[in-house]
Amino acid sequence: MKSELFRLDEISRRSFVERVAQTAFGLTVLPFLPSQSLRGAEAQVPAASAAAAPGFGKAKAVIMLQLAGGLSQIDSFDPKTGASKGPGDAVKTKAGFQVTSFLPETAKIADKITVIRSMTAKVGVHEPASYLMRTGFEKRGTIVHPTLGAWAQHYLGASHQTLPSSVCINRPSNHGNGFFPATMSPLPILDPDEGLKNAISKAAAPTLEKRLALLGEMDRKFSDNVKDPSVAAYNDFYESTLRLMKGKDLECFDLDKESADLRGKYGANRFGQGCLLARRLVEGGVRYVEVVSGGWDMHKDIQGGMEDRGAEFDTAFAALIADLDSRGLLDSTLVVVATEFGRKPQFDGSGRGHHPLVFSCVLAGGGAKRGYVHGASDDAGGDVKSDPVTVGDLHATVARACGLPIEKSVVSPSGRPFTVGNKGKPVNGVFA
Amino acid sequence: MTPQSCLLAAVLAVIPVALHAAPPTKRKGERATKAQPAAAADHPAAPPVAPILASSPWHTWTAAGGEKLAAKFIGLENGILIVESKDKRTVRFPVSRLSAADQKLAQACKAAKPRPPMAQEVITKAAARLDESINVALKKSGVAANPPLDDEHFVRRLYLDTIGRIPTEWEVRTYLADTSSNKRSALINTLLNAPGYTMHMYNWLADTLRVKDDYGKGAKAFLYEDWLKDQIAMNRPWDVMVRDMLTADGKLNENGAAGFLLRDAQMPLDGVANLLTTFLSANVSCAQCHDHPFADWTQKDFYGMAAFFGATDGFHEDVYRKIRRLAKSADVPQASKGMMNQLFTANAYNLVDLPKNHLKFPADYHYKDAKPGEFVTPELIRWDDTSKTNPAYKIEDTKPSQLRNGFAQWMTHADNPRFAAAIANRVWKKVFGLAVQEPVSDLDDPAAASNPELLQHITTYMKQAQFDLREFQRILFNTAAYQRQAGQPPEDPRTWRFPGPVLRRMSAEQAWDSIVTLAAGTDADLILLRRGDDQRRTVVPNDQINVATLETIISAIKASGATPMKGGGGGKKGGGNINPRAIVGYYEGGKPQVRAGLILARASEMPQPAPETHFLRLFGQSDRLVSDTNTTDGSVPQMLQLMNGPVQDVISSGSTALASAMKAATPAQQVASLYLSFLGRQPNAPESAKSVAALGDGLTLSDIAWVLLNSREFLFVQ
Repeated sequence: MKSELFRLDEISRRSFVERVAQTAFGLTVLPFLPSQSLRGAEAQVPAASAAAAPGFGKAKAVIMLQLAGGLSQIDSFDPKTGASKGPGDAVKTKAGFQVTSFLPETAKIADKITVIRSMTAKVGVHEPASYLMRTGFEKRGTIVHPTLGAWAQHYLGASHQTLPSSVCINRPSNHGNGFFPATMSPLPILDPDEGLKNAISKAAAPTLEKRLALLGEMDRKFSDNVKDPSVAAYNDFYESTLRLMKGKDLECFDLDKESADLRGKYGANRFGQGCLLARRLVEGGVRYVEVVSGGWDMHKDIQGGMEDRGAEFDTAFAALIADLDSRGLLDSTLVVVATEFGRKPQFDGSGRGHHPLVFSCVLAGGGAKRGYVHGASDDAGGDVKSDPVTVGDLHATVARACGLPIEKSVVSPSGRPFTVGNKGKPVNGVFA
Repeated sequence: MTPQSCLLAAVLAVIPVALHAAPPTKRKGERATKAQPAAAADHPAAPPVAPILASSPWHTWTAAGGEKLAAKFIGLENGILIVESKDKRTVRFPVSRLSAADQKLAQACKAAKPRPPMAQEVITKAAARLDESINVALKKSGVAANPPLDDEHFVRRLYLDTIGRIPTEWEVRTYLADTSSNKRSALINTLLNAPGYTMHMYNWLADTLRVKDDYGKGAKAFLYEDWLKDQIAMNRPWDVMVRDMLTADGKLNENGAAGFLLRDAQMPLDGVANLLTTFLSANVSCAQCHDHPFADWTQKDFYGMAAFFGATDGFHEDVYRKIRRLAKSADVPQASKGMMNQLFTANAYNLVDLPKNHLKFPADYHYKDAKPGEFVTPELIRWDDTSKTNPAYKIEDTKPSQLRNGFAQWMTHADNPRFAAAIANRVWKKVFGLAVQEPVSDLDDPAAASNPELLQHITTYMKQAQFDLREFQRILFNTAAYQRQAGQPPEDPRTWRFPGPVLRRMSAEQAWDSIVTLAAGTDADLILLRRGDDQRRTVVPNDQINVATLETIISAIKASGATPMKGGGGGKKGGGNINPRAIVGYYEGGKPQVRAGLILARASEMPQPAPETHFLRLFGQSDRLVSDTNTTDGSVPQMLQLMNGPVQDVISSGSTALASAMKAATPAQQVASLYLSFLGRQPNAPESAKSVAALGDGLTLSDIAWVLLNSREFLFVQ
């Protein structure tokens, strides 16, 4: 089963790499690649019936903004009055619904977004919760699940010839490929300002070619003696790297190509610049970009936290939506604001504890409605009042927007079937 | 501080009082009287206090360079002499740089100290017992043991697993040339007592304990880091060390041991979940919010355990607010403003026990066994009925102010049903690459281990070794199972019967430390980063948090020659390079080389964790937010780093490895030298021939070094 699942993509990718290597370095064939016959990519196309579903395939790219630590829904997208009220006041947005005064810029572009106020989960601990939000699956000891970017690459093939199909910004790649091949894991950019460092060979092409030839000999022997997937994965990363080093597309990673004015609009901080880099990458052909913002675990001092982290998010998010929209990319790019869980309605005057029972996420673009609120929490903000959406549902929704077959199951190398979104139900109501 | 004058005068560093003031004496007494079957019998009787210094504990230590210091011997561990000077300061110094006479004296003092290592016969016997258990399991499942590992692969793997770096060419040659029959066990003993052992263990612990420089809002945990390193260097038993962490009082900037609990001071419930997972491998994360779906943990169980910390206060918001207000006020001179938070905030992190346990069940508690808002009664988890007779469960003092102490006593007790098993299983994973029971964070059902009998055995040996992690590892390294070829890790880790260790990519720290060794040689093993000193100067009573105190502290630090609140080493925002000027004043034992913008110090002697885009982080060093999250995944930026990055610069020009190769007479010998440096082995005939041919075809030794650094074989531990 394993070979059936992965073979086509492997071969097409390898043959492709060989062609790229030729043009990049004048090599006839990368020395450590087993020679394979050329075959065209055969992406797995979803069944025709799915294509009729609401929102299907509208999103050509996804930008996933992960607010790590647990965004307080009451202090951001779902303001409350009474005992639950936090340090910020509710303000009216351009779309009519309210957000808190910590999100003034978001209020101005609220007519372009959909807020889901009825997200619900069971996990209230950081690591398993962020795993759930990243993969749509609960964490188990025996298997690692893929992120949406890897699912999309599995079903739709690579999104670009030399660029990676997935990039994650401000975090390491952490098995993002799950049970798919390691080459489907996102390329990590840990500092958007620096982009992709060291991408230019310091040696001249002929020297590099000789080095690679020698290296190929060594590695072939090692890979023959040590049959191991992690060694094989490293071979694959070498291929991807040589492909990228070719040069032309590297500009996508370079924020210096953007005007100082626009860079300023996104905010001079890692999250802001990460959002701008995400836009550049999507524009260049990367399908799935995740941007992480840390510091949302506001057990204490929500006011201070929202004044700095909240402001960074507000500025960057609003700039991203406006920028995408002005370039005509918003309709084909789905921006998701995700987090680990919400925070408790009980406000102790300083902060709030973890609260997975109800929280908020946001969708924008990629076929999502503009200026819309889906679902509701109860008056205190402690429970879902209507239209609950699980994390699996959210994943299924994004997957459907991307045109992935959410009913279809894939058998992992360990022999178990999995579906993207873990059989979650897509939230049809959010699509325009 | 200059390297010349640093000896003894300037390497002064205070280590926390906790290290000297030996806590819980009760436990110690218990240990002395307790029967320790195999181990105790073979231990030579502990001699009385160091006879050499019996007349007076004071001795004037002399360094090879002539500097002197009157101080008393505290310990000699991993090549570092630790003494205490008359003004009660602790000084560390590489023993190799003492005068010959004092080197001997230091060794004699050490030999006279109690807690000698387990005798080799005991180790051999224990290793054989573990092998037997493994062999039975292999036979039962019809799996053949892997072939024995040859000396070349053994020496490389052992260096990486004990001192966290590859061996140098010289170290490999020395070992391969040794013809004695016990050379493996001899090398194990040497390495477990080498300076790099402390560094490697620290990296391993730092991942599990989530060690981080920055506790937020400007507070730094440097003192805790120094304390941890000293615990390892002094080889303090795990139970003692953990008990010290759980019972510590005081501020982040005055007691290093307090740093562990203060790490989660702003979220005490998560802190309890973390410590239960770390020390008892109890999978309680679900039980924090609801009854655990599979395991026996109920939400009430969790709260019962958390209540032992219910009278403990760690983060003092009133103090923090006062500092924040002051920082914003106009009274603070502009020049000092930036330092305000960093110098004062650690004072808001202060472990104290209140007279009353204030933990309540949460407002959304929905089980029938307790009511929301009700105070929680502290109650220890009972895994089975034997708890009634188990001595670990006898807690005498249950006053709220003593709750933590009682809990710590129970948790670290040798008879605690999980404590010894948890650390034994974790250390096993460190050595073999997979735990006997995976994941290491969940031992709730020890019968589900891949080899339950083996788990029992290693638990027993952990107790026999009296939680001495070095002795315990000595047993594991001496097993035939460890000394076999590595195998491909299975899809399901629970099916691994240990026909050998599993093949691993080097950890980020091993890869970095190996590159540092290739570039700068073994000196880096002796260069220690200790940043706690300035921290102690910032302890301020709450009522003296004001501008005048701030100015006093700043001038005191400046007077000592340091720069206030550098040491974070962050340099430019997010730069992968650590700003050398910010950190270099905090090194003891020598200054690290700085080349191509990189500080060539060992990973443990760098900011914790390293900046996001540093080599260490690219190769998977954890961000230290969640336990045990170091990774060994590949990525494109890693490859770029190895092919074109600054590490390539420090290797291909001016590196120790390259210099050594250039000294060789013939091209074939030069190639062999590089192979030994990078891979710990000689090239085979075709490899040698091809490399020599390449040298004749326009490539240089630098190019061969490039190839070796970029080879898969370099990154993997076979």
